[in-house]
Amino acid sequence: MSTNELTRQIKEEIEELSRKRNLPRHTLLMNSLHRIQEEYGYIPDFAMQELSEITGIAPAEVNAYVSFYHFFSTEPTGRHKVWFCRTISCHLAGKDQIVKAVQDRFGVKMGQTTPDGRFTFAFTNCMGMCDKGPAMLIDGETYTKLTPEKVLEILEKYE
Amino acid sequence: MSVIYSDYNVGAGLSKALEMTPEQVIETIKESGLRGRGGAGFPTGMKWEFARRAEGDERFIICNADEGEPGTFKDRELLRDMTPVLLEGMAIAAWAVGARRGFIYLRGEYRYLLPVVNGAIEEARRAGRLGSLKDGFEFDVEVTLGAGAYVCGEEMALIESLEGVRSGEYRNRPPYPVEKGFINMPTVVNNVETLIKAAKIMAHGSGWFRQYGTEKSTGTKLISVSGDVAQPGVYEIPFGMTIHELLKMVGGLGAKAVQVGGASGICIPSEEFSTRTIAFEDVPTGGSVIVFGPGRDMMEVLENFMEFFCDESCGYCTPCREGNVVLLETVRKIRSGQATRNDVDLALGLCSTMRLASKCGLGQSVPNPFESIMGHFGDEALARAGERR
Ligand SMILES: Cc1cc2nc3c(=O)[nH]c(=O)nc-3n(C[C@H](O)[C@H](O)[C@H](O)COP(=O)(O)O)c2cc1C
Ligand code: SF4
Ligand code: FES
Repeated sequence: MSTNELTRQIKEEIEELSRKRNLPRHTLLMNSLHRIQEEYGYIPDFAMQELSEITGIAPAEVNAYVSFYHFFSTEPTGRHKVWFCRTISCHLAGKDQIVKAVQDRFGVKMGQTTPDGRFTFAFTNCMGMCDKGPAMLIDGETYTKLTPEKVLEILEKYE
Repeated sequence: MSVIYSDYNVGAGLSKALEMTPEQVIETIKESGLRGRGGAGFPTGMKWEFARRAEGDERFIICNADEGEPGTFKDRELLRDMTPVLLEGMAIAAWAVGARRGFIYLRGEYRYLLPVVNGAIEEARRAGRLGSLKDGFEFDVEVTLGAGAYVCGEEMALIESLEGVRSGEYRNRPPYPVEKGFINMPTVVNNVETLIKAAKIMAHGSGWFRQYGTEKSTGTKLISVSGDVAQPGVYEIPFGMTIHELLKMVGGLGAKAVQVGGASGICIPSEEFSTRTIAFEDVPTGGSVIVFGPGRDMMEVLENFMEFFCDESCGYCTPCREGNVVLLETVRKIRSGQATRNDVDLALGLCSTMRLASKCGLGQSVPNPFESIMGHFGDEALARAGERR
């Protein structure tokens, strides 16, 4: 993980997709980014550089693309990424108490990583669970109808 | 009364469609009066016809499964339970317009549905509902996952996202995607619900569909209900239902206001519940209904919406990038008791500019919630602030 280039495996997977699709190479960007983030936990600089070569998109454009999306991170994050919905239905359902419970328990704010590198907490917008708010996502899994007690219990299960 | 949840043998709509010519399929969809369920309500048959007639070496069908409008979650249920029918709808659209490939753009928040969707794609290939469908007609579908960006539900932004292009670049229109969409080829972008309904219309006929709804908004609509109600969830209603009837159904009588169409929709106050109806010609919606009980502060609601737009604007054009910030500041000023009538008037003037000069539907629709919430509840909030001062 400490190397400075994409693994052969990832490069081969991208080429495989390219062969299968036979579309302009710039269309590979989104799928490649998901694969890279899955591998490294974030999108390292060297990966953006290499993706620029692979896709033919200028480095600055790759960078602008990546930084636009909530779920791509250009910095290393905690082992688990926890997203809290801050949009209206979850707000009405009491998301502030959930966030407060988490901040009090772990001593960090939204957008920050716990000192032990276990969690990165952040807000995101409506995640389509509005009938079951307050809602959160941990590493892509959804949790709903949170209460201050329940959210801490759930987080305890993540090492 | 049910269109979406009607009895249905998977494959029935596709078989019927493949017995017809593409022109007959388009004609059937036109006769049904089906309009897009993603929010804008564009007639689906017409969209397909434009794409069929446009020049291009290849054509594409894109299913918009980005479902990012706050308060909307009906596509979540459809993807979970009905991806086989969705794939059929995509294949029908492909036959109608002459496409060989399709994409499902699935929002990153729904990553947990990816195994369900991919499983359904593999099953459809095995069952002959994808792949080689008829002599000289092949169609296949793949999924691309989004990564958390509301504006990517807007069809040109979605295409930018699929293409690896930074957000905003393609937001000058026309041309529309039906002429120059994905990699500049004619492209149909349709919502999940639209495509499922198209499959059912092919199976049961356009007359069956038209028996529900109104003259201008035929058929039914899936509505996602959240907020201060006893039974939040997904409901199928005929177009033309009043807000009052809807609230009665979901246990939301006594509400102070209802936001229809999500953050970018409009706010309906209680005085209008029994006269306003859910329909493209009255109160349109992609399916979001958020209910506010008597104790809610509507300025707090508006502040939450404006925070949403500030966060989700792609920043490509000035009216939207800067306008949202000013509107948010105005609401905050009202809430803290610092605003005057003049601040509100300036903000409303800015709304007109944003509606005219923003480059895409995000900036253009921000005035919907701002004007309607401010219009109904602004004076009350200003007066309250005045008393405190
Ligand atoms: C900011 C914005 C977000 C949108 N999000 C979605 C969405 O999540 N899903 C969707 O189907 N349509 C969305 N739309 C509408 C699409 O641009 C497009 O009209 C729709 O996908 C067309 O499909 P339909 O005709 O079947 O409704 C959005 C529009 C705007 C302006
Ligand atoms: S209106 Fe807003 S979201 Fe749309 S292109 Fe302009 S800045 Fe981007
Ligand atoms: S408002 Fe939180 S999931 Fe929709």
